[in-house]
Amino acid sequence: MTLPRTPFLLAAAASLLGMLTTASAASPCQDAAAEPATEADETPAPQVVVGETDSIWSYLVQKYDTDSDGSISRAEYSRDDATFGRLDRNGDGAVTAEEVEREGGRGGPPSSMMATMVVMRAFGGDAGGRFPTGLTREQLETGAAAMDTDADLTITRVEFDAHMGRRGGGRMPEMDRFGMLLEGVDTGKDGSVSREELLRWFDAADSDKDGQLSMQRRGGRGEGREGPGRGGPDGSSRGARGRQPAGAPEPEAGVGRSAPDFTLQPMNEGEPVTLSSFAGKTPVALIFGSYT
Amino acid sequence: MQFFVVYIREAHALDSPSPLGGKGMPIVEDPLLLSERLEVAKVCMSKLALEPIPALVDGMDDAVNAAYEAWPDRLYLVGKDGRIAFRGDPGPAGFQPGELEAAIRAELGLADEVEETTPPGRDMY
Repeated sequence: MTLPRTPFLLAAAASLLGMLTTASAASPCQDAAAEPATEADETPAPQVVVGETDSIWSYLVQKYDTDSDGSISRAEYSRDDATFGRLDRNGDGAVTAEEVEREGGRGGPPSSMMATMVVMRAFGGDAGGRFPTGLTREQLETGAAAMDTDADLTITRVEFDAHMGRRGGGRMPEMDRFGMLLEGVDTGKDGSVSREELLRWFDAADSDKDGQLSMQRRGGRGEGREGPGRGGPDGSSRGARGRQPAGAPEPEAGVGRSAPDFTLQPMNEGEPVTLSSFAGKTPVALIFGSYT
Repeated sequence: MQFFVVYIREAHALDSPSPLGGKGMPIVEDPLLLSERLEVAKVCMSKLALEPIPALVDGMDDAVNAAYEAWPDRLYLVGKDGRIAFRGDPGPAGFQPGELEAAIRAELGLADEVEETTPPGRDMY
């Protein structure tokens, strides 16, 4: 199945950069609070759009459900029509928990996608420490048996945390990974995950019934639940240097080509930065990503 | 050697086709304004302890994202000659900091690391 991207890949870069930033020309972060950019034809005022509540629905309720009736009307929703339209899946003028949490998006409910991320990380193939790119049913069975240290056929939070501790905690210790697993997999709602529930979940996710789930990104849009197996966006064999398959259009930012120039605003105060200003002076590493 | 994080459009905003968030994962509504994207970038860089790396923010037209086919996340190295020296595969599977490191070493003429220290690929979510 196709996995959602992880939000925390930016964090992986830091392990690399810990070594190299001493050699870099990177300047320390300015602490000044930036003024919001003034945009001439901007109608809405900027809002706070990031939060850390226990669920997407609770975030929305806290922000918008001013009459506390358990649904969010268009009048209560203070952002734009287009976004409200996407949230209001059945188009009845009200956004409800069911639409947000159960239907989710093309990739399925958020809880299901998050459970998948957790399972991949907990049991997925360890290709020399690289990010797991696949998970076979056998790996899941073996891994679950290993995690179930008292062999009672269920995995408790304690057993899960112990196993994940051995694998490495990652950079987001506040993530309730076991909680995510429970949401997605614990059909019995008994606070633990039976090995049977895990396998049933796997079989349901394995839509092409090939006994494995693989991480596959197609066309950069992250849609679909199963991909054609390993490889580049179009299923081609993966080259570490981004080699394109024969017949594919040459990418604008292909290896050997002149890097597409840009001028972007820095996150902190300062002059806009133009990529081409570094040519002839220093190489530039670019790490593209977002929080979610 | 210069590093930049280029902060692009959210991959899993709660109002996107593939929303994520909750249980300790951040929840983000897709920014509509550059100022909103700036603020999310700041939270992100702070929470992930990446502030030593200067960050740039893509415009709301997502032009740089498009030029580099960067979504959802991706690593590049632009050589001193201004040409693309390394282009990683799209993330998450393709986002492998070890590859960028090797490319940087090659670009700078440094010897390869003999042993791997912390496997960076593990150190995500």
